[in-house]
Amino acid sequence: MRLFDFCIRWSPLALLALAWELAPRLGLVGAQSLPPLSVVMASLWKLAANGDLLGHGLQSLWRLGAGLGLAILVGVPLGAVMATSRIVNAVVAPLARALYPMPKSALIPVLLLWLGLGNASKIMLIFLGCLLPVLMSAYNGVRGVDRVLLWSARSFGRGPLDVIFGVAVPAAMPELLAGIRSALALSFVLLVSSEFLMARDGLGYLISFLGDGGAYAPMFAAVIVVACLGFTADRLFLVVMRRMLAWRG
Amino acid sequence: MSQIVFDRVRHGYRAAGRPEMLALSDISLSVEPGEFVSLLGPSGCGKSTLLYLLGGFVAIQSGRILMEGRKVTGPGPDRGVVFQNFALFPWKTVRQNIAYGLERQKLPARERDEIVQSFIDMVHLRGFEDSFPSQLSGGMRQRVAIARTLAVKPRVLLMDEPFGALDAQTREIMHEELLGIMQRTRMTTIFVTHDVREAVYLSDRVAVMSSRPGRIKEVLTIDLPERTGPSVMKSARANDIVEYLWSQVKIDAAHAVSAVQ
Repeated sequence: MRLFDFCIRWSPLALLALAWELAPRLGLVGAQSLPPLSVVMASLWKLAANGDLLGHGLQSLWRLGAGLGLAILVGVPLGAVMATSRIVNAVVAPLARALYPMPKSALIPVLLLWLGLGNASKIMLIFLGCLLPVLMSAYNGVRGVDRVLLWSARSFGRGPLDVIFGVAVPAAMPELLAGIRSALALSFVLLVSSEFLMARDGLGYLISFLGDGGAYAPMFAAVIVVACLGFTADRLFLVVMRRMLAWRG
Repeated sequence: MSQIVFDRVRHGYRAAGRPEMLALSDISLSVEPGEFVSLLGPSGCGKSTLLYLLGGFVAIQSGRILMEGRKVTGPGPDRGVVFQNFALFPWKTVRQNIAYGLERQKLPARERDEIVQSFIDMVHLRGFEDSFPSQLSGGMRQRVAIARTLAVKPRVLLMDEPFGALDAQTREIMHEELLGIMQRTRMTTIFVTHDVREAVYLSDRVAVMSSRPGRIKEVLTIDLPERTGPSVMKSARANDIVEYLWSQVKIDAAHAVSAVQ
């Protein structure tokens, strides 16, 4: 029975793989624009074996981790303090509201001009893109915390910072983690699109470099790698999230 | 000297573009050390607000509140508070919740653990030390909250409808537990409730409040014999007191209902 469930669950993916393999082989699509899956997988093996994948992949992951990490480091405290301080809120909220709907990818040329082709421009873009979702989730989460929890902490003699970071932020954790999860997905989008346009390494660069050179099989291989990385990152985050929220019962 | 003094306390709410809503008008009340005083009244009479003012959570607008002779200006561990919805930290276990208030006191870890364990035992939660609040029943949660508050040895205990969210049976058990704790600790307690029987059973004195604006109509001393168990409430004397208080509260509850309609 479990085997059956397993088959049902993975059948769409298997069908997709099968269609990918057969469509070019049967001449339904040009083998040039969509190489058969087996050919792509062979390229993937080659890319992995010669170390290209690891080098570009590590470069990309470093940018993603640094950008998202910075966004969390800045966004959580700022959002939490915003939710509790009228003054900070008055200063930051209009800025956040104005910048929230702006597509952060529009900043790519500006950041290229200011920060060049190195890591800084990509990290900055991911940081800026992820900052607002993280900040808003911290803000909304902390605002929704039952005031008697904060009162309890204060009646035990805790000061304002202790109340915010010891009580309000942990209490807001479900909403906060949901915000970070959507920021994680966004960070992959920003990473790859910025590496298309302003990089000399990284998985996004690899995809566009291979595509420009007409090496379509390895290009598809790199795309698969990015998709798998995104999927794995999200699953890992879910596992961490469940563990951190085990108290919800 | 009275341990707690409310001195002509007045409290209003202002909403933009509307006249001020007077929640509490000219409240004066003194509470002696070791006394158990209930604030009894219909919802909306400001009894919880009065407790929050004493707790220091809400700023005092007019009049003053003295705690052992000193003006209340903010929350402090001298006034332990138990809330209706327990206000436990849901991400902390029973043990961690009860230890929370003690973390600030510079105690050796072993001594702290011993205190925590003694309070866990006091509220009969041995075996649940590592459970999260979400895994406990309402009565157990409120026991954790009471233990957490008592563990820091407050000078007075403020309870805001602490058993209001519990079913009738659990409430009765909690009454016995609370009376037991009170007999041992003799802690001064202010107890907010709208339940007349509960107020009569637990209190030395009951302050009856009326609504719109909230004020203290009457302070009644409950002179029942020593509370040896719930049977005390079956005496004719207890019935008379409940009847009388109920009639006092009912007038205002009826007013409140007609005001809403």
